[in-house]
Amino acid sequence: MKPDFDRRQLMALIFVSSLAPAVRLIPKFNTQTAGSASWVAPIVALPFLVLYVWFLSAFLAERRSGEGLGEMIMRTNGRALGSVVLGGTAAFLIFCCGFILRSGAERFICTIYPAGNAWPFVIVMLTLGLTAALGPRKALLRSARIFSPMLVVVLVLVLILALTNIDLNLILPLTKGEPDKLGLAAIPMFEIYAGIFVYSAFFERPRELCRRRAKTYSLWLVPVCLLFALLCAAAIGNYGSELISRFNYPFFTMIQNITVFKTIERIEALVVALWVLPDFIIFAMMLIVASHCLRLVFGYVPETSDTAMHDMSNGRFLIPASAALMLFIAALLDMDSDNLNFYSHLVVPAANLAISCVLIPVSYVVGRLRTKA
Amino acid sequence: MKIFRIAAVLVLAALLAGCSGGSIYSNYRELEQLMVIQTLGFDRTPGGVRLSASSGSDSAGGGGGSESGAEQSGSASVARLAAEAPSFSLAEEKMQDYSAREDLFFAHTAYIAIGGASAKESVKPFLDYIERSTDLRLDIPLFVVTNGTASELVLGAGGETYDATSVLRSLERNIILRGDGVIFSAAEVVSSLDENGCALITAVKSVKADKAVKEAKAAELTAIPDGFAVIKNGRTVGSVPVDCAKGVNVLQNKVGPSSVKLRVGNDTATVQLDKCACRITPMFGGGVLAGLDVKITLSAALSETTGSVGVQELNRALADEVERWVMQVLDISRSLECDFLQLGRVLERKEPQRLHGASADLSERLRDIYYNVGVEAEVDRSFDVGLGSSE
Repeated sequence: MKPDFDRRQLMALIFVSSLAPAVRLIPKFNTQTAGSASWVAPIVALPFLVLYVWFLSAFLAERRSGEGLGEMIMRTNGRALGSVVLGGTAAFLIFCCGFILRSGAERFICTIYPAGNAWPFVIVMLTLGLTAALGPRKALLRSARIFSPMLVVVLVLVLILALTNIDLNLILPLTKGEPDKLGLAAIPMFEIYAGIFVYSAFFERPRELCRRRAKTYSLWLVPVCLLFALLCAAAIGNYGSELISRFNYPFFTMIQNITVFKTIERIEALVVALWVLPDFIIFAMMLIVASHCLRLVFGYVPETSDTAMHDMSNGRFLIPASAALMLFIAALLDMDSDNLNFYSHLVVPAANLAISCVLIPVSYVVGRLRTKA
Repeated sequence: MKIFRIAAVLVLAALLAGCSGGSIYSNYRELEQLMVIQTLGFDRTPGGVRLSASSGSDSAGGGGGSESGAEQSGSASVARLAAEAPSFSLAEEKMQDYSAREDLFFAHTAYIAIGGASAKESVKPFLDYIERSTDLRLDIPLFVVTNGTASELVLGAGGETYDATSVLRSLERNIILRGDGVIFSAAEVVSSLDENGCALITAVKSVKADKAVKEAKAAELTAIPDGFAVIKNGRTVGSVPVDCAKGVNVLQNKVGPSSVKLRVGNDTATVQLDKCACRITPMFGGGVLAGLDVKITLSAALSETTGSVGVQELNRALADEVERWVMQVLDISRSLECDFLQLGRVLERKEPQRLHGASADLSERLRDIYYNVGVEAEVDRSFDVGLGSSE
């Protein structure tokens, strides 16, 4: 089966989609947990992520040609257990997408549109994501490939400008005390990437993408973890861990205070607006994966070729149906500051970890036992 | 299908565009109607707060006259406003009510002045407002007006064509160029207060501008440096006087080419500081922090002298003067039990294991430690005339 996208596009999809939860969680949750040393947390997460990548690659190596992660789980786990695993994954993704719709809107309201209405943002993002989910998958991956360098340039520029004002006394020294806190602070980085690795694996149907998968992803993770460590260091080095842990969006607050050559300031609106791109990519990706899981659960065989957008046959009606459920969830979520923190820091990460670290490994073990038997 | 897609894109474009008015956000404002506020003054009043604002000379500005609830005065190029209300947000709204022609725009606020008396009560509400506001940046420099209210400075500084913004900008530039003070931003103050409950804010004194500038009108005010206000537990508890404020620069390794007057025998000499390096190391006794060893090495250039002075005497006089600044600053820190210099952070970085937690609790240990300050000063050159010709 000839792939209609390559691994670089898949990695761009993973990177871009990770930026939406990353700016919500990583500088804030880290510092709340481990204080000034928390900038090391993304590096602490690296070996665990590498282990996870090796596990997932071993799992995916058992695919047959044309199978994605979903099809393989259904085949190796059997219809009943496979439906539980995929149904659970779909349920979480539908909830998570509802949350992403609301939290993305809240981000706009908190940072640049105070007292604005969340619903126009929600509806626009839902429409964009649904359009992308109904269209060919390769379009989403190509979009991610286009967005990725743009976002990397923004991150690197922000990093350079922020690091010039850093106070080393705020991020050093690193002492060997309290490694447990540093381990806890590494959870968001691990949780975000482990989850996205799992969901992006649903796209990996061509066998060609499996070659040297673990090694390629492991090497790719090194600069990613370093980038996040430096971003955390820049944030903490500028404002101190206490202040960072109080901000709703430390990354955007840091950008709010950046002045370029004493000439350009208040560029945060542009950067916040750019973060629509990661929101769009992660929402569309999760919508595709959720509807894909549901189609498998309901006995449909999702197509491997492009399909017309308005074609609702072969269970494709589940794509707009999933989107409608996401909208319903978004309407149910009450997004005051406490609730946002509760969902963002507890419910979504815990559920994501449960899927990537419990459901998927259990499915792997069960699959191995069943195929051996 | 193609027509449907085009229609969908057009609808989205119309909804997303900023000019759609009311689709996403209803608070769009025309650029030419903005009054860009550049300096704010914060004071406490019995009924709440007094917010003073100045638009800067490059803003559209405008107004004239005064109102009962909010005051507005100024020329066509500079606008000054003030309002009293129970809170800053309400004061902003009140100001807006009396500024009918322009929309007040706070996003480019460059300076914030805090009244001295208000800072003695508490700076916490001011810092909280800055932290929460989406309009105000956290890297805005803060000043405490030691001899009056912030309102007096913001409304009274400058003249018809310039305002408190120009005055504070000039002050900031001079302080940074000369290196005889440090300007602390709101973020630095908040961060220091979070860290160990102590911080410094640059202090200024509002004085009549006609004292130095003959052309200035008698009522015009300007701001001059007045050392630092020491903040502890959210309020001013003391000050670092202007005559030893350079000690803060020395201890933070931020010395610039500022001039120092020295008494050498019966003569006086003025030197310009050149390079300065300050090394602070902890000294231990019985396993606990017993003292601080402060080693300062600096060089300077002779600017002027009233008679012939020897280089050795000059070096000694400079070393004595710098030691006096540093000891005075350290003594203030010790007497207030307040590590406003954030020495704890420096020490903890040097001895992470033995001084773990010093960045947070050095203030409490300051009374029990001694200081060993050593200064090596060298006046190593003069300018157009050789150094040797002064002897």
